[in-house]
Amino acid sequence: MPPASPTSRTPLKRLANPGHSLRARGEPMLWLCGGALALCLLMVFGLLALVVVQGGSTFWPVPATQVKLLDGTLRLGEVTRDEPFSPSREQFDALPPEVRTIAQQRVPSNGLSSRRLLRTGNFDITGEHFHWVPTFLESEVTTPEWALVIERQTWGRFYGFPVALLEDGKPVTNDTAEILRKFAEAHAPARARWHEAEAIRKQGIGGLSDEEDEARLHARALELDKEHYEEGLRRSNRSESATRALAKATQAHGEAVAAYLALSKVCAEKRLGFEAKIRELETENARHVLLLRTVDGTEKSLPLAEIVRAYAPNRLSFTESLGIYWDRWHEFLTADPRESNTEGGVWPAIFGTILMTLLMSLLVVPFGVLAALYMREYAKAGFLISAVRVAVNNLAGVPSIVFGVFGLGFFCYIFGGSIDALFYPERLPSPTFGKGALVWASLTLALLTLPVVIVSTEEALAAVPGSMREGSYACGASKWQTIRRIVLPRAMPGIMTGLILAMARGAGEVAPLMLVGAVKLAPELPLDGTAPFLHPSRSFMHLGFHIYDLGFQSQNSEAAKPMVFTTTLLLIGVITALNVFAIWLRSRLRRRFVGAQF
Amino acid sequence: MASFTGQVRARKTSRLVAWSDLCARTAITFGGIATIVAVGTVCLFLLWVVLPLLGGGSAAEAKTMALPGTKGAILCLAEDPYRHLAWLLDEQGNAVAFGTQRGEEIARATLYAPEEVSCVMRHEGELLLGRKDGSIQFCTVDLSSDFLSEADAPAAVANLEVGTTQIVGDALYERTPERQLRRQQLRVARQEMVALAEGSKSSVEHVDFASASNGRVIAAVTADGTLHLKLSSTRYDLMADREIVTLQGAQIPLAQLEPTITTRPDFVQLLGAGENLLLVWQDGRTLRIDTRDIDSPHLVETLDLLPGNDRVTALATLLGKSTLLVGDERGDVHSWFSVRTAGATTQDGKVMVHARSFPTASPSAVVSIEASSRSRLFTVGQADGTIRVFHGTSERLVASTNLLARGELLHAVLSPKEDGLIAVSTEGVQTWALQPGHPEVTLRSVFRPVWYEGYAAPEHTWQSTGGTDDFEPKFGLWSLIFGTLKATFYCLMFGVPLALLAAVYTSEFLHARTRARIKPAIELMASLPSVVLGFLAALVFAPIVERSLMTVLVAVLTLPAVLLLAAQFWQMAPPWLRNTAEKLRLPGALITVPIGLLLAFTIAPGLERLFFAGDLKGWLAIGTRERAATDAGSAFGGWWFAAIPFTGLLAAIAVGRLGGFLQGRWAGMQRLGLGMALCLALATGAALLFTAIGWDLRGTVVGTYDQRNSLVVGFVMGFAVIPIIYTIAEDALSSVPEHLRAASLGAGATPWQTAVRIIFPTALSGIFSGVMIGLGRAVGETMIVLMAAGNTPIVDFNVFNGFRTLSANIATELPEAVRDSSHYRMLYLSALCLFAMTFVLNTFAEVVRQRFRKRAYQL
Repeated sequence: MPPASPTSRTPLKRLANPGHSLRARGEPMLWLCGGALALCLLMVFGLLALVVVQGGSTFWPVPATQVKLLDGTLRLGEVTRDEPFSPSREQFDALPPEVRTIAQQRVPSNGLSSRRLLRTGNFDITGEHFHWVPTFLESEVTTPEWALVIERQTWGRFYGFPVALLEDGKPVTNDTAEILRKFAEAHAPARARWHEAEAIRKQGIGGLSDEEDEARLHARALELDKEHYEEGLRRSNRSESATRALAKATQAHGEAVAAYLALSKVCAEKRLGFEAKIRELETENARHVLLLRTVDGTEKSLPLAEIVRAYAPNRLSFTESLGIYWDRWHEFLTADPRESNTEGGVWPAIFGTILMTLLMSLLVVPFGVLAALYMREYAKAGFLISAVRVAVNNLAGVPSIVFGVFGLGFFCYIFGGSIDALFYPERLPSPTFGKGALVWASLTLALLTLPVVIVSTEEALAAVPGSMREGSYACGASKWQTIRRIVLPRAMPGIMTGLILAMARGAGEVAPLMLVGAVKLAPELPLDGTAPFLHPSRSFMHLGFHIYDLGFQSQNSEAAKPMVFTTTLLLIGVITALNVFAIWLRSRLRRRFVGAQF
Repeated sequence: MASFTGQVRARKTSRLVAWSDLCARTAITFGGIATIVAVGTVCLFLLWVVLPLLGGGSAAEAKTMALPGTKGAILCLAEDPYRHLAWLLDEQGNAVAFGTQRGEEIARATLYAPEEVSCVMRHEGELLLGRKDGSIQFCTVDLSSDFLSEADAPAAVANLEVGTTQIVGDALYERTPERQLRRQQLRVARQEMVALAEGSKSSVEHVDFASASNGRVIAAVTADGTLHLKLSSTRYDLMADREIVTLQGAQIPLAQLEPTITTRPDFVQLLGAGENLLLVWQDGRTLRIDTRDIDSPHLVETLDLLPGNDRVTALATLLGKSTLLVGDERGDVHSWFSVRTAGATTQDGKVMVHARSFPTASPSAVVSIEASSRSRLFTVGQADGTIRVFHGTSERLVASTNLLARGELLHAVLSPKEDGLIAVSTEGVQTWALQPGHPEVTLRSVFRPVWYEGYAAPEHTWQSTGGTDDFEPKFGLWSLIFGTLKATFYCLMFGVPLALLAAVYTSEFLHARTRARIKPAIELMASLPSVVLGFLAALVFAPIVERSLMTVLVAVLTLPAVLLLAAQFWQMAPPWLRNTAEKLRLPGALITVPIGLLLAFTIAPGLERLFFAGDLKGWLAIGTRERAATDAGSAFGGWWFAAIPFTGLLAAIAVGRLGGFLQGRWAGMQRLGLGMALCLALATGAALLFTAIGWDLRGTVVGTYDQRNSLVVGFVMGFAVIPIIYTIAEDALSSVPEHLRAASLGAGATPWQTAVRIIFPTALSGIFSGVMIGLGRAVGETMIVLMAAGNTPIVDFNVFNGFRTLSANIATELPEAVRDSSHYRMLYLSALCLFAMTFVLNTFAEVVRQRFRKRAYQL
């Protein structure tokens, strides 16, 4: 409907009362409506822009700023943000008298000054990650050329100046430029050795413990068997067969125990070998040390292997900055988190989110389609089916946390508990399936998104014209043939729409996951190289939960904030990617079938 | 028969096709029904978990046995946690342990000689003996358990099967489910005797003690009418290799406390950690003595526990020693505790109040009241053998039973795990298996205010965990439901107008091509995960709003004002320009909105200085007392701001009705000016009036500012529900049949008139269902409130403080709740409430939408 109406073309002067005409046009209300729409649009795009800008700029290297305070204290760090504030009287009173006068003179008459938050790092030395620097206390602000930013494996960032590069405790060079050059040469091999040692620790030694554990649990299972037969023997009053069964079980148990003991001996030997290798790597790494000086003169030596990344931010060219930016993104997307999730990467969370969403989709589509097919094609239309339809529709509006509560009580405790009692008695009392797990999270979310899939599939089935079904029947096709060859293909785009909606909802849900399996830090991915490859009983990390955890459970929330923004950007990215993929799939399917329409 | 093509065709359906058809039918029917049933299970499962909350407890009689050999009255009775053994103490000083299956005695120890001790008090597993020579002595008697290795065990129990017990010698052995061997024995330990006071040889008549942080507070009344109040401290003497107990404190003659006292009290009871001492006479007369300063106790309150002529026959305290239970000779039990009230005239500002009564059906005297050591349960034993188990806070009668054994009931005690009950009469012992259920939860205690001990008045409180052992969990769901409703209210206040106005504009005044781009953009909001919105709310918006609260509030006023102004300018443009530039209105609004925000930013500091002395948050924080004193505390500014939206509406109506006299090119401007002037004048008038009356907005809907508050949550949650309401409302508006629109326009109505009088009413039910579904979403939203609402469960209408919703509460507490505990089931009840609320809302919306659809078809 074009908005230009016949009325508006009527010349105004022909109206008896132009004032009323103005009111009839309702222009003020129209503007309020337009304003509401504009506000909504501004909010959406403002929010997206905020996330993109904040999240996208996290990894860009910021110059290191050195601030000299009035009392001579030096601070070196990255400026995180500036904000206006009004200093309190106590703040001035705490200053020494000569500084106080200068500071008070510098504060404008309205009492509003500003301060900047400096990320000063060096937590192991100062016990602080950040420092507030009020503008009225600054005496000199510089960007020293050779200031170094060092991201460490532990203790967060280090800000300081290079002093020397040591090899076996002897300085290789004292020239600053030379130090950085030599550092760049020696760093990569040191890190490679570090990674190798980590890999041995994780796969080698970790694998040995897994193997041992497996054997121990096997022995324990046989011991339980044995006890079971002992019980049986007592019950059956020492019957012949029970005695034989017990003897067999006892023998099996004895063998398993022997195997376990033998294995642990072998493992202990292997472990010694691994440990020797690790020691060798670490001895080599201990030879290379970077000697640094903090801005207040404290010297600190850092082994090269402990340094994740080091650069002199004030000397970076644009391309070098871009390189670091890219490198940090790469680390973020592919590495494990460190420093209680505030640094490093989010690879396990990305992996967990996608795997969980895919598993959920695998579960939800068949069941949703079955239910919809039944309701639309097989069940007799009547009051009952329409009541069921309303109920299913309503379930789409039931809060997600309710599904989480159901998942925890039913899937984890009851279902998982029964599985543990039946199949994993040797692991009790520590639960295997009777706790939050990937499979329960996927099932819970599948249940949560089931109504969405049912509703949209049903709509898609209803939209297939009856003439096509009748045509198919007239050609002699059976009901199932009609559904399979005629109805389902045409309804496919609609089913896909349902799946898209389900995935978008499922990937972004966090509340139920908090109850049924998402954890702060999962030591192992739920999908890996050890049989049976997919481990549905493992907990997993999730991007949404990661955001919650980083923003609200983190010790160092100020340092976590940029990471939260980046993770948010990533989560929105993942959800958009899932959506775009599904939309692309739908349009492909639609194109395939659009030609087949009558 | 040959067909035209010459090929022979089968006339029968091939077996494969028929088979697959049957299989598909079965699979789909089965799978479909199973899926639907599975979805329906959610509700049933929640119900299944919740239902035991409402069921009562029960006591099933297990065993009756003869009394093991004792002499005289039974002073104490206690059972072991595993319910195999019990011990009792008779008047002669014999502690006798016996099996509770057959009643056989297994061990016996003599605690004291009968002629030495005059009274015994038992509390938290310790016995305090008051002796005739004026001294006291602490003892412990318990059934200790330890685990034995197979080698140390006697041969008789080597082949004991799992779950069975055997008595060997003076110990009971049990094979636990973990196949360990557990031994239980009677163990008696005595501490040093200590004289209450130097030279005092008067017999101790009543004694009580309580554990304080720095020792044990002991109160005793001796036969010479002296009250001894002592703090005992124990230290270990290395030289003598024994513990030395020292007492320090005061002793005062009772008459010195209160001159009217002539007799000695019948009960002595310490409260709390020894902060108060009650001296109770049989007629109910009670003195409450402040004993916080152990050296100078003083009388703070005199009261009558039993108005009327009834006599007190039993006295006890609930776990935590804060609630006093008084049993009378007619069988009723009353609970009392002290509360701090504003109007108290006592020295310590507290008064003892009569909180609850536990009436009886059988009028015989209460002989025993025994409190549980793990919750607020207690047993009441009456002289006629009636034994009842009550919960002290919820008043629920958990179980009621009768003594079958002969003789007169002496004691009825709960077992340590509350899974059993044991009673002793003058002739025998009887045990019951008890299932207390969830006695602390009743429908009343969940949805009505509950008077918890120490609280000044009944309150809605949710407090599921506490730091101490005697903490009482408080499950008042109303504070959480209130939080949920509060969040929903503010969310809809922001979201509904915005979404509906935007939907009307999109469906009626936007070009189809623009609409096709804008609608998905708003729907994009729906796919933003709520955890993202919650994080932005808490870490980005909340600090911004905190820093510039005034700007945010002013923007609520300036945005419409600026838009109205823009509309007036627009009206003044010549008609030809307006008609050709119709498309420019939205871009115009897009520019105007930031201008409005900028305006708010500019004028906010000035307004803040003008109305709130430059500090809005300070103004909000000023309490009732300071208000009158300071100028900044004037209520005027608050009223003025609160009045503006209402007077603005009034002014708009007034100008619309009466503004016809304004004509010509500038009429719109003049009207706007008039309207704004009227609005401001009315607001000032109203504010002056209310201030003069002495009303103040603070303490009602506004109050002290918290960083995480309803305003921020309302804003961000509004953001979350806007796309849902917008989409459904827009669909409803767009699906109004085109001929209605055409007819209205053809009859000469303007597009605005068409939209408001034809389209909007027709689509109303669809729009309504959109709002309902938005409401449902707001009710169950979890992450935003979890992160941005502060999570304090309080019932307060203040916009500027936080709250805790049902959903956030579940998310924070369920992972820690012990499975199948009352707490766990209460959280399931919260989930069930959420389920019910949203289900009802959605069904309602669905029904309305169906009606709308039918009506739209009819048109």
